[in-house]
Amino acid sequence: MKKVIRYVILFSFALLEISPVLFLLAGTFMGNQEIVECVAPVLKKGDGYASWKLFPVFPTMKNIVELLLDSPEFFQMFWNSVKIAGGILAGQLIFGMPAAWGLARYSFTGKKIIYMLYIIMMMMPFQVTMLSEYLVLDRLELLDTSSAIILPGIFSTFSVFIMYRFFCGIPESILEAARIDGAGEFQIFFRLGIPLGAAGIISAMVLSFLECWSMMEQSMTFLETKSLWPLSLFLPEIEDGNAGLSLCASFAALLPAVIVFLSGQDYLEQGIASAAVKE
Amino acid sequence: MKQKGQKAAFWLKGFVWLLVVMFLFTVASRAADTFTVAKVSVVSPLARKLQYRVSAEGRIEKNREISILTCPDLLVKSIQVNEGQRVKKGEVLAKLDKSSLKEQIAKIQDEKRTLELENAASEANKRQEQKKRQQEIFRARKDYEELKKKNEKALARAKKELDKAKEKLRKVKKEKKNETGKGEDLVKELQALAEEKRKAYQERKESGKAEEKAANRAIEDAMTDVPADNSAAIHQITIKNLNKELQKLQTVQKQNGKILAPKDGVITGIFVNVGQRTPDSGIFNMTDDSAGLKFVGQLTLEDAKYVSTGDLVTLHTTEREEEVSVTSLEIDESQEFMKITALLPAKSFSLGETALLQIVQESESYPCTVPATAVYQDNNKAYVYLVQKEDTILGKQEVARKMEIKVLEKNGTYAALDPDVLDSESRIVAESDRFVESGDRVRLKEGE
Repeated sequence: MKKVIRYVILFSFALLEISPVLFLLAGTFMGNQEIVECVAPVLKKGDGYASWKLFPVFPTMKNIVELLLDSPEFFQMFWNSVKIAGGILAGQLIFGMPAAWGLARYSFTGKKIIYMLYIIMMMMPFQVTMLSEYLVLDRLELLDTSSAIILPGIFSTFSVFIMYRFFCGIPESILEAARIDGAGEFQIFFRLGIPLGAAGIISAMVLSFLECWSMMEQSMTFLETKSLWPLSLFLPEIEDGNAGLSLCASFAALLPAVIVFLSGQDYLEQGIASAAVKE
Repeated sequence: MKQKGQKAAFWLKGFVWLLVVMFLFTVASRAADTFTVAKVSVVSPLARKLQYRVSAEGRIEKNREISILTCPDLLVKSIQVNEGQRVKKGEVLAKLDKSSLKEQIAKIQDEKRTLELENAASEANKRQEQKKRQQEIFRARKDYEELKKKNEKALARAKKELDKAKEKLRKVKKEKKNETGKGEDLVKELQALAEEKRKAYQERKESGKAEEKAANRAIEDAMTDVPADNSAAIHQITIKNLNKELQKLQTVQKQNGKILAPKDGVITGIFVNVGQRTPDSGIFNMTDDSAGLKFVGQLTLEDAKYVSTGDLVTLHTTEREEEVSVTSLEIDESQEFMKITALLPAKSFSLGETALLQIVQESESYPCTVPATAVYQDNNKAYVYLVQKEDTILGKQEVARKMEIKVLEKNGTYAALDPDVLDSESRIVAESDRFVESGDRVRLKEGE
């Protein structure tokens, strides 16, 4: 009986958690009129409170068709997001991974200070570094280009921090054995470090992807040309009378994030756990 | 670890498929966009004059109609023309019966002779009357003179007798004064005599005056005007008219009873039949070719604004077209149309023919004109859609933007706009294959 009660409580909370996604899904199949009726108080077109339906009264595929066949802007922004996320992830693999390995496996003067700087940088919200980033990007003449988003993203400290934790967990004896066998430092990194720290790398990539996929401030600050905007800025472009399309677009924008999350879910749990472990 | 890898691979494969699907829909949505985005043709404002083409249908009508008159009461022997027939000057229109013509001439001559005789008699009587009247005046004056002389003599005689009586009385009174108490009776007697003479004198004087007055009146009576008699003058007028009529009849008689066309033209009315007598009014109506024809048509009041008297217009018929001048514009009784008239040269068109009048008027030159199809109206406001290159999510795209404008003048083809709002570089949507709203992306038609 206790077990049942526990499940009911847990299911209730789970339902509460997942409700925005359910609403999004329901809204995808709702007509504009129905959506407006539900959220009329929010739009100051009615009294009382906004309500929502889990099942549309008149389900329609209109929003999906409109999104898929009549919204080339959505796809333009989708591919912009893919480009930004792909660029950042690739950059992090190229620059972040060796940085994490070096920080984790080598002893050098100022290592602790650098590590501290990484932690401090990780703690800083974007708003704090926005101005300095803007000035740097302006000097580099990268403003209003995709590189203005990708470049700072590549050198994000968070992924280095995640990978650092995993690389730290590799036993030194294995690396010593490799050195005795004549392996060079690069060989050790590529042949031992990356395979052994794969879980950390994947979880860092998944977390970075989720962050990149939803980043808004950077795009709004550094990108003026609309054709470079990522998908996260699609919704603000939606107009009032197109609520159904906006819900459908939100749901579609959610899909890549969900799939990436599911693909790296196990590694992600491991990564979060490693990030939480005290040094 | 292997299980984790399989799961990750599965979802990664799913992610790749998602990308493939998204790519396909990217292509599909772009392709669909080709059909959904309005294809427009754009124009730039140009300086030009607006032309107003006004046309009016109407008929060719006679410009002037004349009536052919002849002497009344003549028997019509034959009619040589039909209504609508074109005739030349001098052409026989009708023949009158010669005997009736003769009779009519004789009748009028008789009437004239009668009046002339009456006039002669009247003249003689008048002269006689005048003579008699002068004689009467002469006599009355003579009588008066004689009477006057006679009265003067009688009065002088009475005066003399009175003076004599008075003198005698004065003498007696003088003598009596010297011989006191003597001749009293004689004085009285003389006084009575003097009184009698005085009375006689007075009576003579008054009776003389009365007689003179009567004689004077007789003169006045003799001089009184005789009653006016205008019959002779009236007869003269009648004779004059009869002469005219006679002249006409004689002219017709000289023409052997034929009625001839006075001018070239078309017979538009025949008001007498064979066997009937000619009426007092005209017997034929006909157009006068020398006065030409005219076009008569109707214009709407809106179109009439662009036409003025004296404007050159083109007149089209099935056979020819000619440039003519507008003669008059009159609003018709219904107040809905304007009657337009244009005089035509003689023999240029046929009477009764339908014709189309066309006129092209030009406005002043406007620096900013666009096709009328580019101007939209909403809530009494005029606007155009400007095509601008804008930065959109899909890159630099042509976007239609609504712009309120002021229409200065408009015809069926072009509209003149306020040049302050637009410039010669502005690209304005002139035609679109679908409804366009402000902010809509548009595609320019090929070649633009």
